[in-house]
Amino acid sequence: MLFNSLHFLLFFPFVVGIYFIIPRKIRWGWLLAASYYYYMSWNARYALLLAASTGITWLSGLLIDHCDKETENVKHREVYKKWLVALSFLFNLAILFIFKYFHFGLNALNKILRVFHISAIQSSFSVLLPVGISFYILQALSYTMDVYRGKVKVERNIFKYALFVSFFPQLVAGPIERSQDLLPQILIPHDFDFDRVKRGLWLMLWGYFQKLVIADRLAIFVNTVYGDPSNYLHGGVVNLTALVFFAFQTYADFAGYSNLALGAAEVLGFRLTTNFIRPFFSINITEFWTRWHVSLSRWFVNYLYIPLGGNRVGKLRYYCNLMIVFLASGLWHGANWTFLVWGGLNGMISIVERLLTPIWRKLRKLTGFSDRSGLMKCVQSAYVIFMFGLVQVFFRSETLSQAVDFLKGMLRFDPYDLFNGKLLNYGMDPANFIITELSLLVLFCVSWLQRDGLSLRSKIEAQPLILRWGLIIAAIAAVLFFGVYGPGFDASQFIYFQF
Amino acid sequence: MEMMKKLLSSICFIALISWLFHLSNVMLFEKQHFGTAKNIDHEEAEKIDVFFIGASHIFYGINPMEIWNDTGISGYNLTTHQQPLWSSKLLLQYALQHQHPKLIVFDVLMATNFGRPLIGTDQGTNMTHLALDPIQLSFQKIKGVLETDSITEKGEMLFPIIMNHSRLQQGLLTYDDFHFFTGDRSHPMKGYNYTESTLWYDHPDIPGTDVLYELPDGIEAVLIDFIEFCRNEKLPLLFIKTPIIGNEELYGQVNKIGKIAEKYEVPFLDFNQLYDELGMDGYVDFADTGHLNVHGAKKVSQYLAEYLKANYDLPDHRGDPDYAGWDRSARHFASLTGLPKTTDVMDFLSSASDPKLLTIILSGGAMERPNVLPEEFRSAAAALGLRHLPESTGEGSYFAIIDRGKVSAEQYFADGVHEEELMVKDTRFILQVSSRKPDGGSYMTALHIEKGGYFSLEPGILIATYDTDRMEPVAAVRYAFDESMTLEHLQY
Repeated sequence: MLFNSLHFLLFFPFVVGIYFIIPRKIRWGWLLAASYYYYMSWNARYALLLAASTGITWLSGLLIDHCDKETENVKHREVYKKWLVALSFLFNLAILFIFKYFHFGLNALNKILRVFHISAIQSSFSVLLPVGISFYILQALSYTMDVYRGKVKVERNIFKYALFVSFFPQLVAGPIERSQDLLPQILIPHDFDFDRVKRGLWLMLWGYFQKLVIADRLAIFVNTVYGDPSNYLHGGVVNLTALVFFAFQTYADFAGYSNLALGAAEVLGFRLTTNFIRPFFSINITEFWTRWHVSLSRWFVNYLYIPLGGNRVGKLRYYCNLMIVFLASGLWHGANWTFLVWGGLNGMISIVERLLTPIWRKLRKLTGFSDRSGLMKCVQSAYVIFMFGLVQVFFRSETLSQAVDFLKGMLRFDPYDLFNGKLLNYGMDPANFIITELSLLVLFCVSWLQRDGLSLRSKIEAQPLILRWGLIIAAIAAVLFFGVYGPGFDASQFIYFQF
Repeated sequence: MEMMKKLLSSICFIALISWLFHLSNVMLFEKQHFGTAKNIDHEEAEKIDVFFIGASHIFYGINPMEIWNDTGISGYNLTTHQQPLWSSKLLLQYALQHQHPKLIVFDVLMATNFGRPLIGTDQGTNMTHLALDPIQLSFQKIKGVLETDSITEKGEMLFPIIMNHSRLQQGLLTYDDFHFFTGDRSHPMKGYNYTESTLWYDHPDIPGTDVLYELPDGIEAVLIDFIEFCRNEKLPLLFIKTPIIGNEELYGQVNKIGKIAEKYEVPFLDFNQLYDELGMDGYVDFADTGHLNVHGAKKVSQYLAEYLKANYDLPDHRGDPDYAGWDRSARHFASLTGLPKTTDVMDFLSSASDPKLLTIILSGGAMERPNVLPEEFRSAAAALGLRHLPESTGEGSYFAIIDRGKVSAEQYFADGVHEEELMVKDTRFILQVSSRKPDGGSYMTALHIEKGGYFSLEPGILIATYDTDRMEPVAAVRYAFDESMTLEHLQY
């Protein structure tokens, strides 16, 4: 049940309506039922995995708590708790490995075996990647870790805990919530609040705009170019356009999903983590990763980077830690060498940027260039978009060689291709280009208006009624008239659903 | 109080959004000029006695005007292009909200191989849209769509904007899309589509009724469902098949449907078995293999009219002012068929009051040879509301536009060359008139209809009639000012 499906448009109001009608005490139960129904609408059997991950982490929490209370020997207690954490991680990562990385691992193993002239291991295990598995497993594991660290109280009601893992707005593509943030919200009932519901719906509307008007339109061009490797030879302008378009598509798609998730949760009374903080306004890629997919970055920082020692180690180890986190992030995104290279490249850029920071500072002093000047901000944004787009080539390509071919194709750059109508051969007509340009302008304006860190929704709320209504009606009309949906278009999944 | 205010504002907002959403759905669906799903709402309630349902073979093959002229039976073609069987049922169900017909005449074409490509395909979905998109969202529509297994894309069938929103981006919206909410949307000929086109066919080899072929999978059940529906609604049903140039399999399938009809006690009139009795002529009556032209439709409709009169108790409404709509449609049909042939200028002037026709009168270029207009002509023009018609063509140039029964422009020029441009729906008309031959030039009295033709004339009056429904010229004539005072038809 995609957020941009008619099924969800019927499901969500129904869930919300019932949620606020039924007694407060059982509202969480209704949300749990709705969340499992939501997840089972993809494949009912995969709910077993969700339940298994929930059960394991819930039990680990109980046992850790039991150790805390019952084991008097401090040393033994720590050992037992560590074992419990390790077991919880082991079981959950095993599920993830089997369903996500099994074939990737087997292929890698067979390549190694081939070097030693050992015959390859054949497997008849075939299974589709359960939607959202990478998200809910990380979220469930955060609970084990947070109980271990004493950051959250153990939840004894397995059903309430199950809602924490399966809360449908963020179940399949995040934001990945920390137990200390989401679990307490589940334990308290939420009443109907007109203003909150309204604000949640506004955010959802903006999410739909990002997804249907921007991301799925850009996808027409991107999919056409990437879909046929022979297109890579058509000229650098085509590839460069696809590169930039995919950067914006990924952003609009994932930020759109996140806004839908945040908005849906807000309607129900929950506050989720803001996943995107105007990432394309970052000064460099290092900062970009603190503003892009914030909840995942935070998870890796909390549960991988810090345990590895973070930056409180020697320089070399620090850079190694950074690289490990980026490689893990790459692997988390997908079981393919392309994602591993993607993670590695991001790590490399971050390290290089850190190494160049002192030189850059000196250069700025010498030239008198300010980081805050408008021109500099434009240059920084262009750099971030280009570098992000460049690395995303590996994210989007099926194979490493395909990615390399794409990048080679970019070198055949002929600026005349910008003016000879060549770009119209890739699925988008002039009307689509105009809508793309206008919608990207809207995206820019919205981001720019949020530069003071204040909610744009609050600013809109302060406007006269006629302006507010006009704006909302215009947004709805834009989605309805200029959204890419219906027959003739593939119902594009959200890019991050595949993880 | 604050809560009440918010609640009220929400209700108003939701109502506004719902209304705009409804308007968007209405604006965006594809409005083909043939097909009456979009027009049925604009028929007066409780007036239609017979619905002719089916697909294009109905709207080309059955002419309710012929039936009206012969018997006074108020019939209506309730059909769209390639209308699937399931759409026929839902469309009829919708029409029954305001009409209580005494008979349903159903052409069985879509139960043969013609219906096969519509089952579970995009084409089937598209054709279902043509029939169902004009139907407003209601509990009945939701129930009908959800209960119809043959409709796979239920969401977009309930909210046509899902299917049609790209028409806006692709620049496919037409005049009718923006003006669908206003004006007269009744069908000018009760669902009949007039065509003079003729293709030649030899006499088809039609086997006897004993040759039977199986129907495509799944079709029979849908056909029986339609029969059951009519039975439950207590609507007498008559199956027909209009003449068609087909192969043995097609005729065999029609025969098979005859057997089903027999089993369910539905009378069946297969015009293919009456091909010779009707006097069908493959060189005269067919627009193509399946669609009859106006001549073929006349033969079938007249036979059907007699059959209905003989076998059903259907009242003759001719002369009843409540059924003036059928009279108007009959006059419109008479204009379409008559104007291209008439040599009486008064026919043109009288047809100008037709609410579906555009009449353009140009006069000019006759200063050297002034002619006094006949009194009969002048009084007919005055009756139409034309006030500035000169007494003689020698007095200057003149043009008038009578747009769907109303004078929309009329101008007299004492001298000079004048050009006027007007848009009718999506079509541009350019009118030129001059009262004298410019030095070294030729007379400039001319009418240019974008995508419709160019007419010019030597001194005299040009009268052109244009069908605003089909967006085609009906006839253009030059009213010559010689002793004969006759009309000369102009070619376009």
